Amino acid sequence: MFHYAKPLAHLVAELERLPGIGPKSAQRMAFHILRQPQDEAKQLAEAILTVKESIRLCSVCSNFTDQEKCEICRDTKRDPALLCVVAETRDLIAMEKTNEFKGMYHVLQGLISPMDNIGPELLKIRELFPRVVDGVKEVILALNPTTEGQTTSLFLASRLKPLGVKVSQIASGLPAGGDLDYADQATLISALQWRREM
Amino acid sequence: MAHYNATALVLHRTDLGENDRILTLFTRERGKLGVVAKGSRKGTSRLSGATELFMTMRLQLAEARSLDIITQCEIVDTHNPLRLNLDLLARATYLCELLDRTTEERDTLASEELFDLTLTALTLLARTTTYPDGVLHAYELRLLEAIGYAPVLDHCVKTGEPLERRTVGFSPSLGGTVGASERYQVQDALPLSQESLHLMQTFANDEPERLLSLTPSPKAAAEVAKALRWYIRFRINRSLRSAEFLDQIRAAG
Repeated sequence: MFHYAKPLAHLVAELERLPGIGPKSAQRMAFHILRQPQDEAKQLAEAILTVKESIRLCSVCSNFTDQEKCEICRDTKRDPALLCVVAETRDLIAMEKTNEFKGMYHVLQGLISPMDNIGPELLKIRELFPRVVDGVKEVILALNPTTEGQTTSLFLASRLKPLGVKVSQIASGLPAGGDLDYADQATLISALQWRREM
Repeated sequence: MAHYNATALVLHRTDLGENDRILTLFTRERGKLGVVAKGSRKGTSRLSGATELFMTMRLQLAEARSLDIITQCEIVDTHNPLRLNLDLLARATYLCELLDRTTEERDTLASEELFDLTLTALTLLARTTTYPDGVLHAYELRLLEAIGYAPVLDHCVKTGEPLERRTVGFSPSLGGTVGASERYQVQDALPLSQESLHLMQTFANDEPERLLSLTPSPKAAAEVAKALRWYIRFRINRSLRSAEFLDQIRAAG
């Protein structure tokens, strides 16, 4: 039985280890890389190495950065009294794209999920408290409206409130352009709970 | 592709690819099932809210080669009060993990009983005010009974003699209570006062509504919690991850 040449089989095996990539996708990607010009393949390899070598966590907010402090933590125009807590860097980017929030961030690098063995000690929660006591007036919890997100929000609220800081949670409910008739019961309950006076 | 209907409770979920999720459900009709909720990670999906932990729903599923696929879904109960309180949320998560770890996929032997028991426990948990662990321990004992692991609580498992009216022992390895005179001879026997023993018997036998009015002493509550924790650990041969988180919440509360 014929098998791929060793280097190609090795590349397929490595690509297969990426999240959401099965054997067929890995083979497709490997053949794409094989057909790419040499310099493009080299750029990809270098980008992977560079990201591993230069990216680390921001010493203040635990966001991914290539410097000691991330761009947001270095920005002196932002409001240090407002602190938005997000689970992942991609959530921070989503918040930034709104152009609505001008405060600082704290990235937890995950959510509490006891069944998956992710407890508070594995997240960047301990690093949050010194920041809160250092002049923060409001902590906004912007975590996913899932059971894990809610567990993390409740946990953080229980630990932050005794510090005398205002703790708020972003609203959840119907998406913009959504349809009431198509919304599930859980979403509608949430939308009702978070309704506001007009 | 054959379709079937089921009433289900979400026990666990993991992401699958970009848009899908794999759910571990406990169904009344077919016991524990692993299923795929296609597209449920998209914000606009009708399944996104239904794939949350301990959602109860009516489902239509399509049989597939490995994991069945959810084709229709209607939420029956969101158990929303449990999601607003960390103490209750941690306990409800523990209930789900316990059910997940003590049952095998597609074992229908006690599926109706276990499903109803879990639903009752979640409903009662949302109504508790003074002693939420009471609901937890009653659930633990009744679940153990349903799967054939009920501990003996009315006589000495070593001698068969009735229990004396003083502090007795509870041995996880022997499967229940040991007499006061025997407890020092059993290596893993934990102390169980008269109040603790009575509390465990109440959990195992009384009407569920009675759990809401229980106010045991802290000593008895701690003894029962310890005895059941060790008994379950012995029976399922592992510790539950959510139990450790629950301990953290209890310690802080």
